[in-house]
Amino acid sequence: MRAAPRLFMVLLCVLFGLGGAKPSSVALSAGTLRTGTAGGEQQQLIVFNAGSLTAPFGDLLKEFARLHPEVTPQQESSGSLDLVRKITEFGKPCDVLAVADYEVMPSPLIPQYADWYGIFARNQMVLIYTASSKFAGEINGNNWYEILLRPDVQSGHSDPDADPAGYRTLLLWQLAEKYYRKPGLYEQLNKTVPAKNIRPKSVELVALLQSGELDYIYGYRSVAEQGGMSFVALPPEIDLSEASKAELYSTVSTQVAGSKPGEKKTITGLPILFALTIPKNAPHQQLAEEFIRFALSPQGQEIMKRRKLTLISPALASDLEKLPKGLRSSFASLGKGRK
Amino acid sequence: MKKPSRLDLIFSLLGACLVLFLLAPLLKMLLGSPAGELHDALTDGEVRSAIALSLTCAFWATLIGTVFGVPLGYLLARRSLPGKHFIEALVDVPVVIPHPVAGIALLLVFGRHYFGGQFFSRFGLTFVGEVPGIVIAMLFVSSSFLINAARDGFRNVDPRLEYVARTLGYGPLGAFFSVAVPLSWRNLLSGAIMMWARAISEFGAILILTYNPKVASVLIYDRFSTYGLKYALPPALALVLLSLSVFALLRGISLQRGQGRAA
Repeated sequence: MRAAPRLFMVLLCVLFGLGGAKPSSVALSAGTLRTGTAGGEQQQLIVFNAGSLTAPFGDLLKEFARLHPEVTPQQESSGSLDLVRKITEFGKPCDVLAVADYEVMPSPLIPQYADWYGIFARNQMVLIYTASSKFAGEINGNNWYEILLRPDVQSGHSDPDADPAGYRTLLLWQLAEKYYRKPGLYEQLNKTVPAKNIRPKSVELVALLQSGELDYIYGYRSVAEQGGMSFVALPPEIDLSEASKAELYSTVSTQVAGSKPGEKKTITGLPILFALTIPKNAPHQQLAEEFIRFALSPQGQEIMKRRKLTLISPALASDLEKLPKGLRSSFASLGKGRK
Repeated sequence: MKKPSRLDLIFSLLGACLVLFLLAPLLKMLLGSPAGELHDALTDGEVRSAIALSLTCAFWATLIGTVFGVPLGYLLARRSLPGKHFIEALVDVPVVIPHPVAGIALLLVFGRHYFGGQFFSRFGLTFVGEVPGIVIAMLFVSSSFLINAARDGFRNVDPRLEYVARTLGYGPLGAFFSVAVPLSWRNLLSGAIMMWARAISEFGAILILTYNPKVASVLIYDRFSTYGLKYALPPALALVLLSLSVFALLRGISLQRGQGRAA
């Protein structure tokens, strides 16, 4: 009998605890969406999406399930590379895979695990800050590096070995050195982020930013907008946002962890593009095609825009020949130059 | 030998299922990695320093937990405190809080702009991005194991034994150390082992506070997300084997002491 009030107290405290921590934990929900139960006619649609696509794809799936009551969507969100691993190493079934870094598609996914990919949105590197960040009133897209170089300003980025946003920060600094014609700027900026200001992913960085531990963090525009945070947009010559500037971006490169501990590999600058595909082992191929058609339709695009995605319209397919027939009208060709 | 009763049979069967469930993943891990890989992991400097950091931080957390938690366990067992049930429930809360939330909650107290962080920074102690951050994350998620074990241990000690010690001239503190502590030694030790072990396993809260230097759990996850399963298994195995041996050693000690007392 005594256990009951105690359990109640525990639950009560948990609720308090969670309530108190809410403001900073917004970005933490790597939610799974599940509606209804899989009855006789029910069909599952398993969608793996990058963390930055959780909100737009959540909305898309909700609307898709409303239009198709027989569909039970299952959404799984994590880092793009983790999602790829779930398919390549764990063989987990997946109908639609949508990643924030299209370069995982040509390798390792194609040709063993998928035949094609489509690019449907783009992202850009920005500086995210809050109203209480030091010099928040002064910073803009031209003086940002001068402010970050001030001695009492704390800035952070994610781990270049663990998160593309991390190595993209290093690429951004190199591009900035060229763009502003300031030799040594890369080294100077690199010194502004000591090891203690590095975290594996943007989720942890956002927590540090919102608690005032850091003043500025490097991250994606989508992360800033979906979290309702202020950000400084940087010149397109350095923020890796424009497909048309791919050649400029490719003039810089950096070293990140290779295929095993101790090994390094070189990463060259590329525009940041969102891509999707239907993996070869997709258990519900037809449904997956239908969902992608819906996502790229005017109605689907409207939903994604509401969640602040910068869309590429029409979406671009890596290889129109290999695209399922039912999807050909939704894509244009990516062109021969880039794969 | 007595013929096993029906209860023995059914319960053994049910128990065996669970033991198998617990054992299978560990065995798979053990048999799945060649001895060479384990050797590589144990000689890899990064893996070694991460495991060493995990073990020592967990030790410090347990030490702090003992100094502050054993007295609390004693009060909970012996005194009728105001709001006692609330405190007992509160002690259990860290076990159920999702770990990143625990990390964020700690950040909001021990960050550089918050009370705890500012208070301790006067003594040159900072938490975010530093080793003390690992220790407080571990302390937060694991101290309930020790507090509860201490409380249960002290409850099992007959208070009259302490009164006897008092009639023999001991003060309350003397009676605590000469009667209550020796008689609940087993509970205290097993509580400390559980706390230490739970501290080693912590990941989510540590990640928020301190990513570098990396403890073993963080390094293992990092290896997995950067290089894949193949390179995460060996350090994971090294950690499991090391903690298992320390675990077995301490359990052995506590068991022997216990039997010594019973005899």
